[in-house]
Order: sequence, then C-alpha cells, then structure tokens
Amino acid sequence: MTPFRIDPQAALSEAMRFNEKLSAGLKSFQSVGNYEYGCTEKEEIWRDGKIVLYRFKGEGKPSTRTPLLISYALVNRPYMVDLQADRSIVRNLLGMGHEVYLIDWGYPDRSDRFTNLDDYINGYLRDAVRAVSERHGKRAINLLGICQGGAFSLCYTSIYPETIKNLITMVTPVDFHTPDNMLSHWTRAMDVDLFIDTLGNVPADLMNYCYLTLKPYRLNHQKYVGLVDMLDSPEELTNFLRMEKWIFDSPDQAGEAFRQFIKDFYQGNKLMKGGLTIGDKAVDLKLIKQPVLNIYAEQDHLVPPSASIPLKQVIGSEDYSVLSFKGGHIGIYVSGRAQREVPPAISRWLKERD
Amino acid sequence: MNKTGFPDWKAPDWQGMSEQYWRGVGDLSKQMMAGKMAQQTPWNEGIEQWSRMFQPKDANSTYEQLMEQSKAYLGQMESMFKHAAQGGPVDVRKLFGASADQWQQQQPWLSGLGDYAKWFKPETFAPMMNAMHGDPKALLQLPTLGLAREQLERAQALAANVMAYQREMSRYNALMSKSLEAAVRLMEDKLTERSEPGREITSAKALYDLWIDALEESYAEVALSDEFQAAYGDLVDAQMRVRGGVQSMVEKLTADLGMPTRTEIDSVHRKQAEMRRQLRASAAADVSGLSAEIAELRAELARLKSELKASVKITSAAPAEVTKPAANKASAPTRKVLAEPVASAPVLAAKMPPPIAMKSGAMKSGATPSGAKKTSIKKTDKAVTKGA
Repeated sequence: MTPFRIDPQAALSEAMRFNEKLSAGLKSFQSVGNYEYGCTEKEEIWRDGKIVLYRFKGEGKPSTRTPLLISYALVNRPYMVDLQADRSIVRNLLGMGHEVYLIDWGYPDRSDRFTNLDDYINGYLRDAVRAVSERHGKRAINLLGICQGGAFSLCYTSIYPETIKNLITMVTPVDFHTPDNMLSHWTRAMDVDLFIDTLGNVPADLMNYCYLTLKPYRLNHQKYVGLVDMLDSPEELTNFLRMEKWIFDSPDQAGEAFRQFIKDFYQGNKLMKGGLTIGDKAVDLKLIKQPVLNIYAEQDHLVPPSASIPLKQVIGSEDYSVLSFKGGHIGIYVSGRAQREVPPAISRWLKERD
Repeated sequence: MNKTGFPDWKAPDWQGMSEQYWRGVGDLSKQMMAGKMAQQTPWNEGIEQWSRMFQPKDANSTYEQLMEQSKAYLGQMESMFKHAAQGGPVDVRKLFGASADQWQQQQPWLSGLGDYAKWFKPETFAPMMNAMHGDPKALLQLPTLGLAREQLERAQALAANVMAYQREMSRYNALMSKSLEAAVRLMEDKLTERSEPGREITSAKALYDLWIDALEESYAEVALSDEFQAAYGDLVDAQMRVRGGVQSMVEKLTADLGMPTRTEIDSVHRKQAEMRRQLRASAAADVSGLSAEIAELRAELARLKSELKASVKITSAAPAEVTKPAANKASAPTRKVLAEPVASAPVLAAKMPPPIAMKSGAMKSGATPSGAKKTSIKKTDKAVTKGA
C-alpha cells in the first residue's frame, strides 16, 4: 500500500509548471512597480500630534443621518479597511450612503513611550468622537471598533454611553482567557513590567515576529509557496504585495499603553471579570445599552471566535446582533466574500437603527 | 496503466521518464557545480534567475522568502517522486529530506524571538563566556572590590543573565524539537490514512500541504500547553534581563562621554506625557465649570422669567401697582446682568463637549443647590445637546 497515486507525466508537468511560474514571476515583479494602497479620497478633519481623524469622501450624498467612526487597532495600519478599490469596506459603506470617518493612530516613537490607555481612550478617541459629533450636530454617533480598536470602543462606550448611538465590534476580543487563544496563552506567564521597562516601546518587528509564530509553517512557508501560483498574474501579484506591505507596515507600540493592555486585558481578562479602569474612569460593560452588532471571523487565529462571542453576556444591551463570517482575521476585510457580506450587513443594521 | 487509470509505478513509461528526469538533474547539478548552467536547464532555473536578479540580502524580504520556500518545496517534490518510484513504506524523515533537528536548524524563527533577537542570541556572548576560564558560576559569585567594583558587578550580573538565557533558550528549543518529532509521527498517521484506496495523494502540492498541516497541528498542541507557556514566558524574561544588562552598560558609557542617556530622555518624555494629561484635565475642568455656570444662569433666567410673568399678571390685574418703582427696579438690573451670558450661552454650548463634562461637573459634585435646580439643569442639558 502506498499513499501516493501520482501520474508520472502529471508529476513532471507539475514540477515544470512550478518552474515556469517562477520564471514568469521575474517579468511580473518587474512590471508591478509601485502599488497604491488606501484607495478612497479622504480629508483631515482633526489632528492631535500624530493622531489624525479622517473623513472619507464618497461620490454621492450620504443617505443616513448618523455618521460612522471607525476605530482601528494600534497594532496595524488602518488602511486595511480601504486597501484597494475592490477590497474596501469604507468604499462599500460610502456607496451605501454612510458618512465614514477613521482614526489613524499614527506611528508612535520614543516620545510616545508614556502614552497610555487613558490618553488613547479618554483623550484621543473621545476627542475624535466629539469632533465628528460637533461636525454633524449630533449628540451621538455610530462607532465601529476593529480588533484592539473594538476593545477600546467597548471601554469608550461604557464610559461615555450618551455619545454613541450604535456600536459595532469587529473581530474584537472580549474574553481573553479561552483555551484556544494562543496569543493570550503566551502572554500570561511573561513579566510585562520587565518587558516594557527594558524595551520602552514595543518594536513592530517583534510584534510581527510574534504574530508569524502563531502559525509559523503557514505564514513563513506555505504562503510563499502559494505565491508562486500567482507569479504569472501581475494583478494577483500586486494584490499579494499590497497585503504583504500592510502586514509588515506596523507601528511600534507605545510602551505604557501596551503594558496596560497586556496586564488588564490579556492577563487580567478584566473585560470579562470586571474591575477595569481607564485613567480614573471605571469600565462597566453593562452600561452599554445601545444596539450592538458583533462581527467575528470563524477562522480567526488572532482573535478566535470564542474570544468574541461572550460579548453578549457582559453588555447591558437588549438589541444585540451577531454576524459570523466564514473567513479569517484578515479575510474579513479584504476577501471577495467579505465585500459581498460584511459592508451590506453593517449598512442594513445601521439603517434599521438610524 | 493499472485499473485505476493511473500509470503503475513500476511501468516502463514511468521508469523511463524518471530515469530521464534524474539524468537531467544530475547533469544540471554538474553544470551548476562547474558554474556552467545553461539558460535552458529545466530544473531550478527559475530559482537561479531570481537569485541572480535580486541577490537578496534582506532575510525578511518577500523575494528571499519566496526563494527559500521554493527551493525547499522543489526538494520535497524530488523526494516524493523518488519515494513514489520506489514504492513501499514511507519514511517521513527521508521524504522531507531532513531529520527533525535539521528541519529545526532551517527554521530561524524557531529559535525564540527570531531575527529580531539576533544581537541577543546566546552565541553572541560566547567570547565573553569563554573568557571566564574555570567555573563561571564560581567566578560570578566572587565579591568585587575597588574603584571598578560597580562595573564588575554589572558585568557579573550580565554574565549570569546570559547563562540563564542560554538555559531558557535550550528549554524552548527542546519543546520545538518535541513538536517536530510529533509532526513526523502525525504525518506518518496521515500518510497511512491516505493509503486507503481513493484517498491517495495525487500531487506534490497535496503532499506538501499535508506536511504543513501536520507541522501546524503538532506545533499548536505544544504551543498551547502549560509547559510551553512557562518556557515562553521565562525565555522572554531572560532575554529582557540580558537586554537590560547591556543597556545599563551602554548607558554608563554614554553618560561618561557626556551624551544624553535613555533614562534621561525617558524622564523628559514622562514629564511631557504628564503635562499633557494635566492640560487635558484642566481643559475638561474649565469646560465643565463653564457648563455648570451656564446651567445655573439658565435656571436663574427661567426663574426670573416666571417671576416676571407672575408680576405682569399681577400688574394687569392691579394697574395701580404697575407704577410702583420698586418692581421696575427689581427686574431691570437683573435683565442687564443676564443679557450677556444668555446671549452667549448657545455659542459656548456649541463648543462644549456634549453631556460628559456636564455630568462630571455640577451634577455629580453636588454643586447644584436644590432639587428644583437639578431639574432645570437636566432640561438645559438637553437643550445644549441639541444645540451642539
């Protein structure tokens, strides 16, 4: 008995095809040149140092009354939500009549070493919400928090509930202590005080290294073998490189904010257990009584569904909806399926509550 | 051809093609060794073109990754074809061309904290450690004396931390070896399953994907264990202690040279962050104070208006009292005082952060003197919010 049933001719063809694709890749790489990312035109509305609030310019007039603010994670760049014209949650939402704003947290440097979660949530995020509210003459706006930005949005909404009309969380961890959460598992035994006191800010390369080692063989090997299949298609290659750019274009993490995030969220699991304070403000998720839409990805290796699903138990809202997306942590923004499913679901849900 | 429609492994067509292929590979290897590789060589030419084109230097570049993984992939392809041609039981280690240890050596990321830690790999400190002849532990415990005692003590601490780091790295690597061993066993199981008719592997890519699955599954099992959690935490901590030791020595040196140190710059940045926070708090307090004042003035205005209305009603009912100077005197100056703040209130309100500041201000602090005023504040609150 052998596990192989290989047609010799097919096997040789497979090998030769692989080789031909590699050769074709030379031409493709040369033809790619510079590739754009972040496709939708936007204008700066407000700025505080490196933190910028942008408004995306849609082609038509918004048909909804309440503007939407997107709060992305600190650990990657926010242009993932607007990566390219045919893979843009932002562009889709604009097309569906929404007014969309985005906070860009910038690239912290050593001068931001002592920026903490109080600064991010009670300072910058609050200021950004205020800026959007004032611009539209609205008491409350819609907030979409993504990943770590989702955790920030939960904290923010519980502290300032009167300023948020509808809350959407996307691939957002809530319970950090579920057994399949590898990232959380690793952080639990490390001395984060020693880590930050030594490093200051956390270098982006170290963060990326950590993410790669969550699925080391897929992300360091299989991905690049798979790339060969795309080498004879300049368009697919460009898409791949754009994604690669996003993955490794990461900001360093402000030391104090990182320290608190690891201690209170990853180690302390305080969003679930309670006892979390941001600055001098207590976070009580039961105070979140506005409508909440929770979107998670079924194959998410960074924020497993088990970490997102418990949100329902800890908030006070009676209008809770959930969207389970068939894909991973990145596919939920950029895959073809995501474009077909996620923005329409968000739009429909918001319009029902506008 | 056999009954399945696929050629038999031992059939002459396969044998012939296989021999032809390996002859080609052998010739190619000879040419490569002699530096005479022809443009039309069928195997590895793509890779070599890439190598020549990009001459990758950066280990993290996409090109480098592509090259390395393509080479490994082609190696596995060759290996699989050999196995397939030979038939019989599959030796996973031979199939993938490396023992678990060799595989580990090919994976720099397995060595804890990856390339990022290259300056802090235990080997980096080998010269320092080798210089400590005899028993390093005993040397590190010797008391230090004299003018240089502080520096010596720091060096001793660093050396001790390096030794601890080496131990933690070995512990971590042992777990990685364990996961690779488990992957080999798991792959054997997977291949046995695939020996069932109809489930056989039909392409090199399918075999490669199966191997990656086995590696990932075994790795995840180890990485989610309590043992790994402890080892990972200890490894990170150990590396931080080494980094900290190096940093403190560098800091001493830069201070001696009159250069600003990390500690000094951190101190400035800490003060700067604290000042920003104070500014934000005081701005919020100002706004909060203003909003409380506006609310109180509005309440006062409402009260005066109702008093005025009442007095107008009284005067229309009793015209003789209208001429009473006291009534006019009482209302006129009050109006004057109120005129400005009332007029400017909406402007201030528009600039105010909506309801947050108000809540944290007068209402919570108990500055509102009475229940009646509290009601007024709430109404004002709504009005202000709408205005904003």
